Amino acid sequence: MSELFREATPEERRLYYSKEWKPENIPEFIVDTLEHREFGFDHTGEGPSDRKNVFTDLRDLEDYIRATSPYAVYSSVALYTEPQEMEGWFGAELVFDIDAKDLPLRRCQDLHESGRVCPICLEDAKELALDTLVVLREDFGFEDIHVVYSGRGFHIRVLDDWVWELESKAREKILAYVSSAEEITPGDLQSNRIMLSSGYFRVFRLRFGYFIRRVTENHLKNFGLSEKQISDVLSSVQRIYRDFVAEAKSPLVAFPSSLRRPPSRSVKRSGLMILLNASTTFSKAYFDGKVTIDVKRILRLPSSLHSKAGFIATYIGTKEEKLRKFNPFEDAVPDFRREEVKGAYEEWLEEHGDRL
Amino acid sequence: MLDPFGEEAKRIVREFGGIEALLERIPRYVGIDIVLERVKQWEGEIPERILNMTPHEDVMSFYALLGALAFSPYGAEMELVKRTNARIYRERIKRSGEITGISIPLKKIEKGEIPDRDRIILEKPRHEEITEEEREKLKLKYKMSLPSFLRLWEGSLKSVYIRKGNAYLREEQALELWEKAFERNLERSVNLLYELRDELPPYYSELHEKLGEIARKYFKERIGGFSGEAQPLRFELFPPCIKNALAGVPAGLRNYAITVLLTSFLSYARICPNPPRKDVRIKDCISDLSVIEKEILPIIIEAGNRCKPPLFEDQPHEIKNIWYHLGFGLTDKPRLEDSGNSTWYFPPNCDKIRANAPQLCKPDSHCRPIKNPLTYYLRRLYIESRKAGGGGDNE
Ligand code: SF4
Ligand SMILES: [Zn+2]
Repeated sequence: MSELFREATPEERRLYYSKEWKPENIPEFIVDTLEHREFGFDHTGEGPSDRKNVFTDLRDLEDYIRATSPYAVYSSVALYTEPQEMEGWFGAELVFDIDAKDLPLRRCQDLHESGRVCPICLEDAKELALDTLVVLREDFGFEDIHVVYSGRGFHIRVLDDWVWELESKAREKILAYVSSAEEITPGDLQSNRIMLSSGYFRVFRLRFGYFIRRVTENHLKNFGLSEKQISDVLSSVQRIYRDFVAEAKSPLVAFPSSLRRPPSRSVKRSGLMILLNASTTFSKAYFDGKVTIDVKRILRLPSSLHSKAGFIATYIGTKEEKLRKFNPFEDAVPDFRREEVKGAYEEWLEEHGDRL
Repeated sequence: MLDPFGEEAKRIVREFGGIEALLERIPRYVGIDIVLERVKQWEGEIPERILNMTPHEDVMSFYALLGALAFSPYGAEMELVKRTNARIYRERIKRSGEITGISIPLKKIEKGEIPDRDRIILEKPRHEEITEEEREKLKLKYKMSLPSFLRLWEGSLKSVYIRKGNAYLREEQALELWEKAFERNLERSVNLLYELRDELPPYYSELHEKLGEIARKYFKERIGGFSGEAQPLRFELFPPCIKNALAGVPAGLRNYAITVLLTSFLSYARICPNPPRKDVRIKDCISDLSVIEKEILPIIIEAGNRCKPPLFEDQPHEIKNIWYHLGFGLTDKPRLEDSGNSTWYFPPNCDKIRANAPQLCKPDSHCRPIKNPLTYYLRRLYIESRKAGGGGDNE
């Protein structure tokens, strides 16, 4: 049986880099700043140990890649005056990394073990990335956003002028906002701030929308809701989504009334507070926070091969529309796996397609 | 005038021919007593006289304080000047209801910018139990673009209304931001003047001394100990260049890193973090050599031993050089009376360090406002003491 994801062999890597890969596929925003970026290479599959490389000319990078057919190629999100020393830092992109392999609230629990990915995981990662784009554009006013398929998830790279110099602390704040990592308080409900059409609470509702459509009975049990509350929630997911997430109605209207009470006498928090903040514990984990906060990180180079997954890290574009249409099983497949992936994907669709 | 770092103030400083020229002129125009009035209003009503100063008088008396702070950046004096003067300008801004011309880019909100439904939630116009005054406080009055906002705001982004690249602010939040900017501007100016302190007229050291008295009185009652006074060394607060020197350096760098940089930094940091004048001697600050022999020298020697090859094995006479840089002349049997035989070498400025030993300078975020490793250390001590005292700054 052919596989959707599998490791590329050294021979296939050579094939890819000699026949298929073209330096023109590296996005402009990297080529334009080439001489200020640090490049890292993983030659063996054990991690990028060949660091601190600099290429002042795209042809040098091309030669090096063709000559070594690396397992993986990375470039810094930071720009340096001396990239070979990682010194003279003068700015870094603002990056959000959604790795489909590490997502909580998986809908495909029964299909594969954790640490692997399937089309459902990737679809979910895409939904998170789309929500993120909305927030970055509408709330922060960013206009220079680039989306990349990383081979097993998505990178969102913001290049607007003012992000470059942001310190880690500011990036952390933006991440906390975008991933709705801060808890909701009873005051946020009483004051109706939870219903605001913009700002943190809107992001919160977006992330809650993702959560409520995936949460299971087991999760709710673990969070301590009562039997009644659990069955009420699970039977009104559609209504909650429509009223609370899409229409920003008052939680008093949008949620089942049994949630107004604590699940039991020994608990102080209402079922509603428990449910809302359960979303936060998950949404924190949608992003690999280190990637956003660390301003000296290296990130997989778009156009390079993700050898572990057997896919191409692919530049998608700047618009939501492009991301919505993007299908990794068609748009990010290296030639040497074209037939194999096609077959495997069709097979997968036949078996599980209805769950996408 | 609403802001001593705003447009109008900048214009006045320029009229005088820049900050140095201004500081030259101030002693002729403003008496020390008048300047000191600005720092006596810790709480309670601020005298109308101060609130109604003319812009020129205001600029001169405020910049006089900055000149005095150059003698002990990051000491209790700075805290005193910051707090009392922030109160003065805050009050003026509040009274005028205007925010144009201050040092942060705040804008008034246009009509219809915030959807009605959101405004109703945030400003509660329909809550009749709320007093007029409280309602005024809830009003979103200003906005600031996110790039500027993020540079100043220390809280989370949950507590402000964000929309289309702007943060929308209530008056109190706007003032909080202004105060943050005021603190940073003040800090920046003081670091700038630190370089010039030896050339300032005696007026400023006199003013500085008076500030010190007032500050000590205030802070004894309120916060307890403060930075800027001699105290045991806190290695974790040293700047990167000093940490790098302590870790040992290769042959070509040893004499500079150990004999010049470490010796000067450690001795001033430990014995006399805020030298009252340029030609200060060690014997002016301590009464016997034990601090040097027991605390400072062992650190220097250990760092020398960590060098490759070890500095004092190669060059045993280098010990004499250390005493020389401490101001005892070339000797290896120094007595306290000898201090003053040579100059007690002051820690070099950052640009000198970068020129002489670029490998040592690996700036971190605290390096941004400062120009000398010693002020780096003072700044961090200052932040620590504010944290301990429950001050507002949590950098
Ligand atoms: S900037 Fe100054 S204090 Fe900071 S590491 Fe460089 S030399 Fe040291
Ligand atoms: Zn899956």
